Amino acid sequence: MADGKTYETPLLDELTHGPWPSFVTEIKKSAKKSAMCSDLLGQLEQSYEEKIGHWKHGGIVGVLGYGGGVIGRYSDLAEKFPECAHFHTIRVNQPAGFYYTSDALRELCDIWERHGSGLTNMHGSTGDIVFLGTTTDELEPIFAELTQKGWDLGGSGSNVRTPSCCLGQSRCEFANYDTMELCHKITMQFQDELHRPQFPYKWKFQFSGCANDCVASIARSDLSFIGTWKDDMRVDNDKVLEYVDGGLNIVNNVLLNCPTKCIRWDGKTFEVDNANCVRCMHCINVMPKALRPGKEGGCTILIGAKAPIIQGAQIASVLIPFIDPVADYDDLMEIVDNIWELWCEHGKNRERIGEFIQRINMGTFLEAVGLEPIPEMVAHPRDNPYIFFKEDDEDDE
Amino acid sequence: MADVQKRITDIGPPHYSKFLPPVIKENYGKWAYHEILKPGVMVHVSETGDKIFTVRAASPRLLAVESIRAFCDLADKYCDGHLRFTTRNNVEFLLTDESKIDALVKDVTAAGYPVGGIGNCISNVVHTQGWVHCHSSATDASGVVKAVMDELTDQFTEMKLPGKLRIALACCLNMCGAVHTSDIAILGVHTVLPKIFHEEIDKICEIPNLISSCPTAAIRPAEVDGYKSVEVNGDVCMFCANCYTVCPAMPLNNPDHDGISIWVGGKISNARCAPKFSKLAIPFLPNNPPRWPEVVEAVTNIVETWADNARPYERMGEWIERIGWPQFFELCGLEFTKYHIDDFRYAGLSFARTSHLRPISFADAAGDYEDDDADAGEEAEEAAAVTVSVEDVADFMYKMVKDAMGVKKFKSGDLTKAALSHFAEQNCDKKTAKAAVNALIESKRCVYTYFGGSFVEIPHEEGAAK
Ligand code: HEM
Ligand code: HEM
Ligand code: SF4
Ligand code: SF4
Ligand code: SF4
Ligand code: SF4
Repeated sequence: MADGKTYETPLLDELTHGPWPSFVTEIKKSAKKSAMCSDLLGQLEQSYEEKIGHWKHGGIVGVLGYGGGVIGRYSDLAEKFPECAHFHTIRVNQPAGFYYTSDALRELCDIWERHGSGLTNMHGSTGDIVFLGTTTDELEPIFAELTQKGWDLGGSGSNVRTPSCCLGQSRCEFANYDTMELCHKITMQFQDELHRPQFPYKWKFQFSGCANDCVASIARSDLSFIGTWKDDMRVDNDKVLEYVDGGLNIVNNVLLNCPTKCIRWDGKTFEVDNANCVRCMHCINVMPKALRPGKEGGCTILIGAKAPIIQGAQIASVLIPFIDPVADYDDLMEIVDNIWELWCEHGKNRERIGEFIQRINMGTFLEAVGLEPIPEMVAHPRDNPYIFFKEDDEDDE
Repeated sequence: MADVQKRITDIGPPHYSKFLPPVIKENYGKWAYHEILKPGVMVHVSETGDKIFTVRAASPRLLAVESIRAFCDLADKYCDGHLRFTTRNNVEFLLTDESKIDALVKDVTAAGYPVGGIGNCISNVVHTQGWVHCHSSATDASGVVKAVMDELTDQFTEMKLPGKLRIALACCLNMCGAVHTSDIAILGVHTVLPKIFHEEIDKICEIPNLISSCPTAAIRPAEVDGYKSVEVNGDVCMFCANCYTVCPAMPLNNPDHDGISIWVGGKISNARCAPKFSKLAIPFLPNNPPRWPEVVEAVTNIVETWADNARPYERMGEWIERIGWPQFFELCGLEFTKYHIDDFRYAGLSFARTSHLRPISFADAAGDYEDDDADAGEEAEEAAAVTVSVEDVADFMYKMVKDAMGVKKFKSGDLTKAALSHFAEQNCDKKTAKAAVNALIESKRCVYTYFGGSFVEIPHEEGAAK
């Protein structure tokens, strides 16, 4: 199959040396079977020589009926490197928690090798399995084979992007709710919103089981679910003493790092003032055998994280301090519906929810979606006196 | 149409339970604690006493199916076919038989994928597509990461660092992967104005849409060579490429002027302190493929300086906050420039709004200040002598004020500026102009008035303004 040309690639070859795994080696492996990858190497070498990329701006390609899941990509050196003239990406929705069996992975590899370059990202930064490099003609056949085997495309464009989660209770003792199940349930519930762009801009859901936030939800998801607990931390004092006997400097490494200084330690007893513990996970991270989150788990929901484009980066901020996402699933969906309704009606093109809230302001947003303003939502109350009093509100009083 | 299969859509991903190893199914939600056994290897122990061992290895993110199949073979050999990937592109093998760990580690390492990334170390680098796939890139992604990590592989395979260190790279400001909350973020930047293809722009792009895409309103409609097009106000363009995202006819990519900036001290985890954005350490380093030596050196220098100075568990940002930014720049030997001071909206929020400073901030700064002063003195000596008298300048100013009475009011700065330009040939300087204003006031020919601003005017009747 691979009667592709080979090119001299001295600059790229330099990157096949060294201890860290090399992407050039990976492309070369695929080039043995794929002419597209040979031409990719040729084009990439030219980029390395010229210090500039050679891909043209997007393109409108996709599978019938879907508005996302495929990123069109065309070479601007198509005459020189015809095999990678088309080099589209396909996003395949990953299983929650990124678990696979070897059989399932081989099935995906076979499909991709038949219809594309054989290059992947495991995984793209939102969470999808990314298949890198195929032609427009292959899109429908790939889609048909994927769906036959029970796989579907992920999101791209102004829609629900593929939800993603940490592995949570499947292998982590810190998880305060079932992140994988919630992620899967929400992914299934919003298949339509995921595949058919109908929003002002992208919308990301991400789920982490505790404040360590291993999926980085607080930095990049429009709605971030971070696990926490209601009752008291579980403390096994004997095990604390074992850590201390093992050489842990508990004062320097645990107490002084507690953000609210809510731990008391007299050399024998480790005592947490649970009313003032902010569930930051530090002490538990240091002594996982001795300390565990409480048993009444749930999550804090934060809203509005995004990268800089357009108006500036934002870290998500608290919307709901505590919710049990299983027991209160319907309430949760109602809140999501309300937010989407407001945002879809008033959001501008390319306006993420975080920027939308900044524009219409948080107070207005809360009123519109039916949530009460509470002090948990702010680091501190405003310190600027330009208050937009509304006449109506004053009349009420 | 009989041979056309019915299209299947909206089935979503397979349910994860299809892929979980039996020990995980049985102990789901029952894990009690974990221990890191050695670099890249950990055990999770269940309340039931069951154990699962994890071996984590780095992938280059860009993976050929051939390599994925090799992972599958290893999973078959050691893990009953079970494996997973992490959020940072590591591959994890899941075992129940502790005795197989060493052989697995050996095989994975031999295949070229270093084992590590758990505990206090550098985990895999989150990064984007770069020249391998994206149109928007100011630099390559995989190549820079490879070059940097070749130098830092030991920090992945060992656990010698004070805390966790997360490195991420994005090849343009879109920041796919949200790198802006990393201990060290490597970010591709454009530094020159978008090129505008005037002949095509109106055909390819919606101009009103394009104009509204710019966060600083730098884009204005313009007719160029008879084409309906736009122009960019270079004074307010910040090279964000929003315009290019909505309009292909305005590319910013530029081989000579694209490069890499380095940001430090960001953090995602809520452990100890709140998450933080990364802050600018180095505004610009050249794009220098295939090994980007300047970037590699800058990153390893920052990693080593942190490793040598931070306390246990202290992430980059926490360490910097403890020692202060001046000391960070000093220890890392980095230059602080005007680009380090924010100048976008609410820039003042990042200014030092307290007198809390460490001794490092005192000595040198004062020294510099004196030096500057001395320079200024020398320059003044060289300046040509003033050949106009204070009185002449004052007369000129008086006439100006009088002529404009009832029409326009002047501030003392306006008078000074006018005098400097009027008496330029006589080398009139600010000192002379200032003396002239003083003379006008002291002789009572003029007074200062204060009504909607301070002005110099001819005295008029006392009382409310007319
Ligand atoms: C407005 C800001 C953004 C724009 C305009 C943008 C644009 C793009 C483009 C053009 C690509 C295609 C790259 C390629 O050729 O494969 C891409 C890929 C991707 N973007 Fe973004 N992006 C933005 C922000 C983000 C953010 C904040 C995230 C994640 C939190 C993200 C996640 C991804 C992912 C997962 C991919 C797939 C490839 C990869 O993993 O690198 N994007 N984006
Ligand atoms: C000792 C306590 C910790 C345990 C048991 C733990 C466990 C885990 C697990 C199971 C994963 C894989 C998650 C997934 O891919 O879905 C992971 C990844 C991650 N964790 Fe933690 N975590 C701990 C502490 C932390 C802390 C304190 C931070 C940040 C300060 C952190 C940041 C991350 C990040 C960024 C990842 C992605 C890493 C990668 O894929 O290589 N974790 N952690
Ligand atoms: S976010 Fe918390 S619960 Fe989830 S994997 Fe990380 S440490 Fe475990
Ligand atoms: S979880 Fe954090 S806030 Fe709570 S006691 Fe431990 S260190 Fe303190
Ligand atoms: S960060 Fe920018 S250049 Fe890199 S993949 Fe994303 S959009 Fe493309
Ligand atoms: S690069 Fe950004 S600031 Fe400059 S013109 Fe384009 S949109 Fe405006």
